[in-house]
Amino acid sequence: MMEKRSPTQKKRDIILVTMLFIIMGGLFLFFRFFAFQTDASRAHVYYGSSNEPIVTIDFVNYRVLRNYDQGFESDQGDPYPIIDEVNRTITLLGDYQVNGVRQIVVISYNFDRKSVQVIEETSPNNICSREGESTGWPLICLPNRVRIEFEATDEDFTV
Amino acid sequence: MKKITYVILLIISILALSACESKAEVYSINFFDYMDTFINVQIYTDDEDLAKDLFDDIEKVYALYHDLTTGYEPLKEDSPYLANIYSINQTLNERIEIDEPLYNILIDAEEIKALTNGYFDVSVGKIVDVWKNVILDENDGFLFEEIPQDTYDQVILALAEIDIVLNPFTLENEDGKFYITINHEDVKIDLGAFSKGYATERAHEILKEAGIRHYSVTAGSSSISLGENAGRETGLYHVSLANPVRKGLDDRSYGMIKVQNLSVTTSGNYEQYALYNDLRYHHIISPITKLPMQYYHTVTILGSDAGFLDAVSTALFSMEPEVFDAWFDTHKDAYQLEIIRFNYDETVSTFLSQTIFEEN
Repeated sequence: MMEKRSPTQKKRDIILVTMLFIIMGGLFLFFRFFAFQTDASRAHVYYGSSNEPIVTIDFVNYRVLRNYDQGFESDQGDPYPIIDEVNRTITLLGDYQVNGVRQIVVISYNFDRKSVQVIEETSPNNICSREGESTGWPLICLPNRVRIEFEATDEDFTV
Repeated sequence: MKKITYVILLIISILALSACESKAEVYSINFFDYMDTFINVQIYTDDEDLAKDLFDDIEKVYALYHDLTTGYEPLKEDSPYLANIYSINQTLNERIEIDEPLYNILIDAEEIKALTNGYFDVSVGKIVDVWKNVILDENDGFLFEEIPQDTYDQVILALAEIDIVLNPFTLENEDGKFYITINHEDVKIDLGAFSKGYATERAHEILKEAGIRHYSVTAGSSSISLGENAGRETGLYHVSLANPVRKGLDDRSYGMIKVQNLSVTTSGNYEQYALYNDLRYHHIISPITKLPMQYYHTVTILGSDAGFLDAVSTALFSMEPEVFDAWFDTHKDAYQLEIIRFNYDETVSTFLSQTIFEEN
């Protein structure tokens, strides 16, 4: 037979649950908005399981470095990843296929805001493109197997 | 009574805290069209209109010096200016009227030539061109590759044909008008090692005159001019020094300096070079030997005037260590200079009085 809880115990339960919500919510907000707020000096774009970034966005020196090619060409004959310095975008091939065709992932970058955003991708849930603009929060595109990680260092400029 | 006191204290606290909140913001602008380089200006102010006006003025400065000092193209037909370096280089023994800003930059270049005992010389453009062709030419260049022996021999023969002229050009100021005369067929003026820093210094002056405390002006990866950093309590900017012999992703920098209210310029051999006998042949040519010298990989110089630093770092790069050290000892106090040198043997020499250098 279950013991009936007193009004005092109920009140304590409510306080406990409320406190837990506040603590958990606070932790979430801290990590979401503060833990990655240090200005990034670089963002690295990785493809697949490689630990070598395929593209590095250097926010300190305002340049984008292509570290290796994916071995495939676009319809225009340009090898992926394609770096468009005018529109400030990087286009690479993801692993997700539609009718046997691998889909592209388009990443935009902003040197002034030291930010990156996935602006185009095809995937079942579009999770990474829905993340919006990031200045430190890693962006992970699955099943395209593309991820973007930020590197924060202490430097403002390089000469 | 107590409650009223608490309420008053609370209101005062709120007002005091809200007064602490600054409305100043960072404004930033980028230029891609001048001097073949990326230029970024950041200022911290609470006046957006002032920021826009300053950016307009600074862009005009870079546009002015780009138009006047370029050696690659003539002035446009509708240009308000009289002549630029390209058109001056097409002349010989002809007195050409020029604009005052171009006259002033050439006067300053000649003064620095004298100050550095000829190690900075803007008149050796023909010699610089010979080396640039060997290194950078799209079809025949050897960028990051070994220069073949026969090509090297041809270069040395070509250099032997070009004289270094003692009095390469004449500058005159008469009745408020300014003139230049090229005095020798082997003279070609090249302001590439000076104009970017010179314009950056003029931009710096605009910001100082407007009373801006927090700012940065960066021109390419070699020349920066800094005020105080609003983003740090210390007001310091953290400037990392590019590793000229980097081998991977983890060794981009060999050290860091933390600075404010000064300019920093680096001359280096690591962005454009070819190899000969395993030595780097780069774009900084000694006006004494007509060759790129291999004493150092980078020379980073700290001081107040970005234009002066641009020219002096170029001159120092070609000086052998004994000459370098003697020159620095003579001039460091007058120009308040500090230097960090990455030597060719990959050791680092520092000539610092106030700035702290943290080596990796």
